[in-house]
Amino acid sequence: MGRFHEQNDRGLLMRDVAVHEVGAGDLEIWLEKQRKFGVAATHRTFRLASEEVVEIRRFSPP
Amino acid sequence: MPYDERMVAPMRAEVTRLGVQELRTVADVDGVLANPAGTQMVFVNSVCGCAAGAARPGLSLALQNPVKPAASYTVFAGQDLDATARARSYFADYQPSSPSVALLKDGEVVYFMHRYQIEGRGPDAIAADLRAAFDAHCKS
Repeated sequence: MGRFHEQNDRGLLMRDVAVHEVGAGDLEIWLEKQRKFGVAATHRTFRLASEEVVEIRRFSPP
Repeated sequence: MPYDERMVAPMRAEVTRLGVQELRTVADVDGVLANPAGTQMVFVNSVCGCAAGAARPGLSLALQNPVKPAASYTVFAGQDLDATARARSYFADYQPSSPSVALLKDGEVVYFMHRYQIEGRGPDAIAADLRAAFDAHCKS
């Protein structure tokens, strides 16, 4: 979870990213915690290869 | 590194002209938040154009609500570093972000608007969320 910056042939680039690691507990509970207390960013910049991007979901309210 | 004060001054004024008291020192912050009573709002101001540019007008609209916090304060992130850090210590469970809005009741955080709830939204949407929070928590 983080601030979407851009998506191109080099992949997805995000800023101020928090990562829910596999095995780190329930994803929905983790998301709710981020929603309430703010994104606990651990990566200033985070790039994900295009083939690893499954879905981009807007977290902020409309 | 703080920006030139000449650039920041209009951003401060955009908030203080709403009747929001600016807290520029640790003593200022402690003077109002250390002994809380009733509802207090803290607006963490920012130079960030993509978020604060909508947050300040959103705050302006929200403060026209008939129900609002008993006291409203502002600190300026990136400018008044010590005051901002001290203010954040009063809502330390929440990740620091700017701009942001904390609403406290008797010293407890009852609502928090993060930057992610501000960036990419317009003043009307931001104001609507703040008004809802005021209505929920600031009625006497």
